[in-house]
Amino acid sequence: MPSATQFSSTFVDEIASLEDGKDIRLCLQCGICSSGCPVREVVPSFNIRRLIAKMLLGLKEEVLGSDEIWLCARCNLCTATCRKNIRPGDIITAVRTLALRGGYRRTAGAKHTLAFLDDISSRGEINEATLPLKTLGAKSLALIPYGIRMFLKGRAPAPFIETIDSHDQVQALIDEFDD
Amino acid sequence: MSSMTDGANITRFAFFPGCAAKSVAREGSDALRAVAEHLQIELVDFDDFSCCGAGVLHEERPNLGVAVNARNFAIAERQGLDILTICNTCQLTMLKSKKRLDDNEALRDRVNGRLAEFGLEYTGKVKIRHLLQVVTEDLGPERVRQKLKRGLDGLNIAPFYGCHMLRPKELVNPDGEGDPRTLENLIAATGATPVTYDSKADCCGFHVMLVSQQTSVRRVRNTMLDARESGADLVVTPCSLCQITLDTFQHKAERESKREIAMPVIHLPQLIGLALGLDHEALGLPRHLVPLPEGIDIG
Repeated sequence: MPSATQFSSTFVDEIASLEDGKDIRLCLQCGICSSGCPVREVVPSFNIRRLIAKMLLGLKEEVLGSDEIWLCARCNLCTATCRKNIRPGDIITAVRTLALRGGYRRTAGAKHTLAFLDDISSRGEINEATLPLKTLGAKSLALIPYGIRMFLKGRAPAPFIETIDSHDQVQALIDEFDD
Repeated sequence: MSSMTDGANITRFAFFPGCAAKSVAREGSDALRAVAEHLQIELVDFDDFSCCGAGVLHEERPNLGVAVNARNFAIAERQGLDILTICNTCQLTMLKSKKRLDDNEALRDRVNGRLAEFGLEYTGKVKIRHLLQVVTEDLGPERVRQKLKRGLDGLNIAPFYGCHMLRPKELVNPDGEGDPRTLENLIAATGATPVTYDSKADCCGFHVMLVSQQTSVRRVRNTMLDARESGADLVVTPCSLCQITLDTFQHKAERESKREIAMPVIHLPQLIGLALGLDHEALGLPRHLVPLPEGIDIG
């Protein structure tokens, strides 16, 4: 059992303050979300009902620091089947937002998301060639055989991509919208 | 928008290929360009469109995710064009951003305040459309059938919709509440037989490809083995990202399952191109890791 100090009485409020997490309090813990989940089908330990239970209990550090919140494949099946329409898939988005804002940035999932803003800030587009390195660091070396197969078919991503026209407009939006 | 009642009417779209169809899945846009004229559409390219953020940018900064899309919308609106995409995730991300702008006046005003500095304004009149929608709604399977140079008779083709074509249903889903049939209808229009199997609305695993490769590989294993066991000769998908995952991770899925899968996965515009009799090269088919089966007389 976690000790009392690990419970946050404000965690649910923080989630509900975001558009994506606003209906979390309506969760009945019925479990229909996890019963059809395609990630759970192949990774049995992944359980979105249990993740939401942890959020409702206020296990803030455990949730925000976990790799599990980044394992959702965003298929929206839970959102389509939820009887209370709390949009479990969007709640995952909300806790990802809170994780990044709270400095929980060491997971591969967090690094992957941070790479998107980094790329859009640099060029306006995603660089598929460097995304694995930014997400996985040295572990991306394991992808080399896969990259070679892609390269032989001419399918490898170009290592350099052009910056979009009027990129200064995108940069101005990045400066303005820090939320 | 022009009507589609005769062959002379061409609809112009602001083409939003998405990052994937500009790079790893470039053959998807190549194939669309090759068939565009036959579909009575003209693609207008914009070098100033930014990435839609794929719902990922939105995780870090929800309002920035909306703002970069608003800029793209305003660029298309300035030319009086609707947006056409061939990526399910681009479609959903744009539709979600559009809904937030349309529902939230304060956010819309804040975004437009910045866009005004660039001579841009989001008014809300732009429509976000996916190729599958344009082909089925504007043209219709019957018109597709009439345009065929050759049928794909004898082929069994499995539809793979991709999650972001179907869910959440208030933003996407070409068939409303019911069982999706648009892809099946299009497959039937080419003369091929649509395959019935359990995985047509399943997840390919693309969006965790880098974070948990094994999850994606197992998604590919389950869905593509199902297609194979159901007698499919090939799979067609309207989504660039599904195509990348199902094609390029299949080798790993075969190793994981110790089973042969060998299931070719083609982009929607490639299916149309094959039915129009265009050659494999023009449709970018040689770029796929799982080749079309030999002995099938197409292309």
